[in-house]
Amino acid sequence: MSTTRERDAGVATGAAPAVPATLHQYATTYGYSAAGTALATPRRAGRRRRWWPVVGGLIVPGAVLAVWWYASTAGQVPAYLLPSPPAVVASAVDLFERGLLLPYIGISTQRVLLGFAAGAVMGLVLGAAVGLSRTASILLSPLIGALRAVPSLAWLPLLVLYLGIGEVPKVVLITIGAAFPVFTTLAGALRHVDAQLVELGRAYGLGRLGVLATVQLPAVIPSIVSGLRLALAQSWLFLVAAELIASSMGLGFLLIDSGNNGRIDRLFLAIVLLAVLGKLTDGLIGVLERRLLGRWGTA
Amino acid sequence: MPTAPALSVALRGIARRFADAHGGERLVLRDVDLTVGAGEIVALLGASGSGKSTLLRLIAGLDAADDGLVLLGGTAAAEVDQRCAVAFQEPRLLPWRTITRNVQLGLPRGTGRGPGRERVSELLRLVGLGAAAALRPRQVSGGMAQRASLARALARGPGILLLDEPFGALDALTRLTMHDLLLDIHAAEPATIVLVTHDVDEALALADHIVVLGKEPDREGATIRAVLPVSAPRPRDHSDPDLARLRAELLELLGVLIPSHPSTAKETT
Repeated sequence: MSTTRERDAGVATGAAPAVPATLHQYATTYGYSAAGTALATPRRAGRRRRWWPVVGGLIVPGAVLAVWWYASTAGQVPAYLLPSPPAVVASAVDLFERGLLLPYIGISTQRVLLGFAAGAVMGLVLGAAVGLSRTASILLSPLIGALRAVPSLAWLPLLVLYLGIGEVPKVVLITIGAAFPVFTTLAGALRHVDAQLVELGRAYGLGRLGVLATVQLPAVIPSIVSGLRLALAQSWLFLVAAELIASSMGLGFLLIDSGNNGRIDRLFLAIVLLAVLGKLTDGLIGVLERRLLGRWGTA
Repeated sequence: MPTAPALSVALRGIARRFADAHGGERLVLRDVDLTVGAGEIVALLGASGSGKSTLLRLIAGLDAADDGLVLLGGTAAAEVDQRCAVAFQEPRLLPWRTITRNVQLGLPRGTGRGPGRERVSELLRLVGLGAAAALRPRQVSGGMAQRASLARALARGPGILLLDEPFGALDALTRLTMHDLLLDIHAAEPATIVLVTHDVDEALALADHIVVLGKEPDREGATIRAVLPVSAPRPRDHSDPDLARLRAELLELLGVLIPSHPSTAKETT
């Protein structure tokens, strides 16, 4: 403390201090500084960063909502083209009171989760086979590559013909959609696991399974998680495709049904619900990702 | 934790060919005959491409010779022989594991939890990484990573320790520290050490015998050009006239390969 005072005294009397005082000392000693509050300590910057992503992330959606609200109530755009936010909320309440909203959300979520789970398992198994075995890669890669090129909607008529119009074809379609991203990322990641680390595992007496468990799997965990994330987004995409045809409930059905009946408020509701549900499930995977990367990440 | 007794290494008529880019074959090593006594430190010295690392991989059983025989302690080497432990040119640490867990990978199969943990912390102390035990590889310096790699190899308690330019990527100062460390470790746990290097001074500082690998003029494939004993007591003094003579001799042997650059042996690639 005494050294600081001496140094400040030196500054005050105009004598050159042995050690130049920092701008921060000027700020605290004299009450102002040319640098102003920009000299805040790093800890303060860290605290600011914690709330910033949450609040900052809401700014643009909030602005979009405000513009939407203004445009829909200012009378410039007719209500049959752009419902107001309260009208969309009212349509949600209305659907809820009719006992439709929750079942619709429930059945759509169920289809997505079932299809996603089945697709993820399929993608993991096929991806592991193709990524680890040259033979499997030679045999399976061309076919899988060709199947991946088929647009999702092209499967629908075939699935309806073979599997009817119940739950099965819808879940199968989502399974197809979810399997490919997981397959592609896993197969690619396994092929690119550092060969030196694989040899290291071998040199230290690990067999094929040991190398897989000790080196290859941990190395591809970040890729698996990003594959799962893609697959989940893809699942919601395929859900709407599945529910557009031959369905009597669900958010995709709400979408097509409202479109046919000119219920633009419900159409908006369905889109908002899909956005919210998609973001929510993606957030769950994000939590999983952070936990896994904390354990298996390279940082 | 008992370490395995040091084992001798014997190479008998080793030859190794690799496929070249044109579908043909390229002879890399030929007629390699060498005996390394149990507990000795032997340096394999040679220019780049003289087959040093290939020879080391053959001893480890990571690669198989086209001709000849590798005997460890008098019996043939198996594929990936577990009597050897290798420290590679790169540290090759698993980035998602702490230093401790990386060194644990070196423990022989079937090591109990308690003795294993004890052995690992003992080794980490030995290589001066006690304080870095809980860090991830990315959080430590290159020298620390190399020491962790060395500790992992030692965790095997190997009869034969194979080091492939283990200090090549380190700065000169760290390298000298590592030399002392290696000699200390050898004194404490006298395994047979075969060390690949292209640094003449490193070979002179560490080895009991220096094996010079290289090509004979107009003949394909590298082979042993000379085996020179280094009898000076350790720690060695670089100004020792015997060592200086040996150094000149080694440089001349290596210089024969590229006459215009007699200092090639000191390249740092």
